[in-house]
Amino acid sequence: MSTSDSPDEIVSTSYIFARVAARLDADETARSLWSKLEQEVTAGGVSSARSYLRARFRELSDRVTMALKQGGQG
Amino acid sequence: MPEARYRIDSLSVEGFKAFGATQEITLAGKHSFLFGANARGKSSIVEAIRWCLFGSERDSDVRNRFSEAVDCRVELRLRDAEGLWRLERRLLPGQLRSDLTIKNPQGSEVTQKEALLPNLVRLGTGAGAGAVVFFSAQQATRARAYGDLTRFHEVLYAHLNLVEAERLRTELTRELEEQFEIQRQRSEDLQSAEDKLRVQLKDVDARLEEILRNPPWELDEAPTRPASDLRIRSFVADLATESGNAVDPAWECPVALEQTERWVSYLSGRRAAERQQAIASCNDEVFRLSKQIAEIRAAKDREVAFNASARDLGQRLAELCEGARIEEIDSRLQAASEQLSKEVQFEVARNAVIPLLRADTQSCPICEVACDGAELLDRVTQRIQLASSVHEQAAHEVQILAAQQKQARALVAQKEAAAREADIARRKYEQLVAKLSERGWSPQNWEQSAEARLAELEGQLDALKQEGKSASAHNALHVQRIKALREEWRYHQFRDEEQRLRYELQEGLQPARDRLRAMQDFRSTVESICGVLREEFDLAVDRALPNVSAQLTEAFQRLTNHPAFDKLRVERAQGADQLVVKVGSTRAPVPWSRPEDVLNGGAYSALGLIPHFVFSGFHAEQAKLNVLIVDDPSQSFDTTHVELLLEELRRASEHAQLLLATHEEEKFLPILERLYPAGSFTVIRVTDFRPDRGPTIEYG
Repeated sequence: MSTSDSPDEIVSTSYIFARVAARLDADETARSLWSKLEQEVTAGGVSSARSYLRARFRELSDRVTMALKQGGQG
Repeated sequence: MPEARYRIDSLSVEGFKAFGATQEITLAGKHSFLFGANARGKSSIVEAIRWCLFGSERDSDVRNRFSEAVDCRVELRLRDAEGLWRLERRLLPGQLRSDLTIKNPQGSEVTQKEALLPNLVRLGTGAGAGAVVFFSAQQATRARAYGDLTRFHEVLYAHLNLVEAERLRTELTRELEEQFEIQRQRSEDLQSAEDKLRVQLKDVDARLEEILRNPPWELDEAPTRPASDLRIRSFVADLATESGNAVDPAWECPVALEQTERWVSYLSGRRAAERQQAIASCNDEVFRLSKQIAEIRAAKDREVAFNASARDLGQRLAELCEGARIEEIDSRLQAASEQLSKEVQFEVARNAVIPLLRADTQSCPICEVACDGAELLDRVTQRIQLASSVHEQAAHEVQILAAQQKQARALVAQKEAAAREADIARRKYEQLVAKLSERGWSPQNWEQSAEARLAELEGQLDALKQEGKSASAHNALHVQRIKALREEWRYHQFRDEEQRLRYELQEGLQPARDRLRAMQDFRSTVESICGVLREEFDLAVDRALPNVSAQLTEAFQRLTNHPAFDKLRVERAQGADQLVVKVGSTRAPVPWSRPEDVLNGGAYSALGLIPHFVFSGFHAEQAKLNVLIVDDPSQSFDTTHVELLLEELRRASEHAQLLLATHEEEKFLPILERLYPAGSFTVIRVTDFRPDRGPTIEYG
């Protein structure tokens, strides 16, 4: 098998990532988040991307909790 | 052939599996063929390379059983253009986990990433900087990595350079699943907070409704808060004046009402005490005066009674004495007594003469008158008879007079006693009346004065009781007023609370709603990204699968030349194995089947190796370390297929550094020498084994 048979052109993580980025291009929020996730994957791997997501979710959850504490004291 | 950055140069092994003392094995960056009889330690060399690169789930299993007191250590040396990189994995005695250290050619310790070997442990190919190292271990070894087709998708994804995309897809999906619960919890928190406020609001509305049903104010409509404030302060000021207290302008209305309530209570108590004291005083005087009056009247009555008694006794005495005085009675009694005494003398005389009344008597022994006895006797007898009659009368008279005297004296004594008692009573009366004169009353009309005073006291008592009733009514009015004003103030407080709760429900919780929406939006974005990633991943895999299937089929046909099942197809599957390999036939219309159901042992073993032969070429130009290590591949191959197997290995080794271990040197070496140019490979022989040292290694 020669390398020209390799399906690199249509199958690879970088190819998929590029396709995802292209499809999300119209959605600024999604594109921005995807860009951040890609950066995290590049810098620290998939676990880093998940950690980033988890931290964002936690931050958003904490903000909800904080708002609930500050408002609606009853 | 595409050259990976690194080639395995050599390794040093100590205390690992069959190795006791430290030994060096040199591959010199070439393909290496490892020959030796079974149980000489060939597999320990193969496993040493794998352990150094990837470690083991149970590191303690790799320790040499004959030298557990020494380090278990493998140093793998990789050569690149810069020089030798040293990867050392060490398991110290007593430890359960091994440590990997990497040093660059300059001897400095570097990270795996700095050595450009990321994801080494996972056989990853991330960003084109991975290491493609795979093994086909002996089938009997449970540590074999890819000797079968379970979790085939991991092998395929690794070689298609899809590991990170697949992992990211999986991790995003898991994170979304975890966050779903957290987000649901936050939604419930918000709902709970809203419900709590609604319950409180409902309670406040009910209280307001209750107040408005029976309003405490006497106005047509509810007063405003300033109006209520004015009303309360006015009332408090009035009460302060009445009770002699001062109002602090700083008091809030509830405090002022509380203070007023204390004043009312104190005032009411003090006045009641004063009234009670006055009533007690009146009652005491009434009691004392009534007692005095009764005593005076009793003394008077006593005087009158004794005086009457004395008069009665006097009258009875007069009747007894028949008008005579007691002295006269005494004289009569004395005379009668004297008479009686004479008669007694006669009696004595009579008794005395009796002995004289004898026959020879010649004269009276008393008066000596001459007479004979008989005559004397007659005379004496007559005299005595006469004397006895007088005596009896005298005695009777004395008896009567003595009784009369005794009775008279008793009456006199009684009369005198009654007179004394009457006198005592009179004096007491006079004393008591004189005492009343201290009040300024005259002794003559003390009774009128006393009655008038008693009437006056009764009037005072009635007035005090009436005053008490009025004061109670007055106090009750104050209390009622305070209660009404307090209720009026509570109305405003409930109104405030109602407004606050409505604000909290509508405005206070709005930030929480906004933030929850932001959280939901973020989740939607992640879901959108995850969906796109999943679609693109599936599309990529779908695009790759036909080509992969074709290449697998080609290699399978070359290696097995199976007479029936000669076609492979990779299919999607549900569950842990996302992809499965099915076998079919170009020669007969048979259904696609699971390999383990239709293939013989040799073909099935070959199927386990084929993916590695095929996949080793994928991304070969990007691999940093591309090593194909096959331990005893002919175990399940019949002799006719060995040459085909080695031909496939040769193809794979165009991209990878090959390390082949087998005990069949005679069968393999001639073919290998024909397939590989001289000088392009190293032959390593394990000729002996000693428990204290391990395998004996020779080259050439």
